[in-house]
Amino acid sequence: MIPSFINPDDHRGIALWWIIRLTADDMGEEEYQEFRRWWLSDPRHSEAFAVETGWRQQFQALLTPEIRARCAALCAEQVSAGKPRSRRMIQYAIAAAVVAATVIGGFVLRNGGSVSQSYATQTGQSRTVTFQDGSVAYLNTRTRIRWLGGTQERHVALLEGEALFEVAPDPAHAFHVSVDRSEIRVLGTRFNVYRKPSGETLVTVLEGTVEVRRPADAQHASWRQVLGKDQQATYSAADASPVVRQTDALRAVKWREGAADINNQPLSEAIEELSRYTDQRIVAADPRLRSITINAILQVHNAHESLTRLAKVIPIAVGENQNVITLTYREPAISQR
Amino acid sequence: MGTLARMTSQEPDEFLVRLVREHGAALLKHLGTVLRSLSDAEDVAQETYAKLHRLGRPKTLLDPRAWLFTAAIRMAATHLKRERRRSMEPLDTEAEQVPDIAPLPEAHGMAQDAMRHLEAILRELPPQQRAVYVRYRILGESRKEIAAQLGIVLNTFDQHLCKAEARCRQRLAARGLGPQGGETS
Repeated sequence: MIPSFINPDDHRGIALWWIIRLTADDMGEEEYQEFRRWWLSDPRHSEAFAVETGWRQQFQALLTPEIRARCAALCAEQVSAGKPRSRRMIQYAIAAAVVAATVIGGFVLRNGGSVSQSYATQTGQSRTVTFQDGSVAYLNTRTRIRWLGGTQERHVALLEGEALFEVAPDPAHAFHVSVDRSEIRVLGTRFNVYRKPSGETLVTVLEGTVEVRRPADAQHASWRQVLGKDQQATYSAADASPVVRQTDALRAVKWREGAADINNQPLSEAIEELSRYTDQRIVAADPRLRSITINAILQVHNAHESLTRLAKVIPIAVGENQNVITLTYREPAISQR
Repeated sequence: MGTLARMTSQEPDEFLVRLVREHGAALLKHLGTVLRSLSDAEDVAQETYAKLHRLGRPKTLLDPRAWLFTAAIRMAATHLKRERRRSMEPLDTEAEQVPDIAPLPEAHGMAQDAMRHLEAILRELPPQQRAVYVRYRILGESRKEIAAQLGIVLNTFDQHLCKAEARCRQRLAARGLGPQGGETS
């Protein structure tokens, strides 16, 4: 049955419907005969069906890995916008005893035979993924990536979280990482990409050179930035260009050792960092806490323990109640350093 | 492939040979899906190649695969109608009247430009339609899995997909992408 929302005079629309049904693998003989009657009963139907068929081939051919990656990112956005991350759901997922990270799904794309595969980590997990070209991605906590590479191109979409990429050198095939609407392009190098939940993206280069660019869209002009070793670019969707600074790139990948390097940053930065690895909520309500800066390397996998250690050097007291860690201001004592 | 081999031995047609090598298998599979008969699919593919060989390569051709598939589906309808009538009329009276491939955009760059708007077009879609379209059509995920995750029945899935595709096609056509005149009946 042709759905009623399609106008009976819209031959292209009906042709589209039949193509969807023909490729859907649950079309019975009766429905198939209905299609045949429609197809052959009127030259306009036959022509619309042929034109629609050609258009779909044309469309598939125009779907470059870059466009696919950007569309994939769109879907990720939608999931996080539509369903706010529910704490209970996360706990449920962990209760399901997922010890190692999970491959969400692998499948073969219809077009071109390239394999697209998703990889993810849960809260507090990390994982190493080796792609078919030999490149490696190390995934940090709460991270989702999708490999879209084929034989011609190498392409990864970072949908959420943070990953360190070690790209196998191959001058003939650039390696692309899409983050939201921006794209990072390299030939063979090591670099770290962190897509913060706030929408900010940090790209840090450990070796070699990478190019970060964002194509223009309706609201924004395009920009392009080349980064060398120990350079870090920070940008968000609305920025006209990235902010680039010199950094010790190894600091940015301390997470590989289960640590975070907090270098003269406010306490809130340390809390944000620790929160990535735990489902406990860290609450710092006292306004006096805002003025505290921290210069330390924190172990990230036990937030309570790390904060308790910090409490020895900064004026905070740490309380823990089930899933909430509470920080309060502690008047500097005699033993203050 | 026999027919093709024969005719190319008389007059090499590099373009057609490449077309068959690159897209022949996909075309045959698609024809099989549409015709539900392997022998019909093979016949139609042969007739299509023979016709394309006679007509020669169009002067401006941007997407050979789309061109091939369009021609083959036209040929399929002709083939079936002819079978149904069981008429003895010569093979090509009707077929020769449909050599024109729907005009494609004048430049490949133009198509690429239009595709850059795909993302914006997708953003306008209702969320479920968008999810179905992106995950199924663009990322190639499984129809049953997507439907199960979205909590919709397969019929609803197909309807979402149909609405989303029609919308995208119209918006891309407004930017000059896609066969023109397709809407005329």
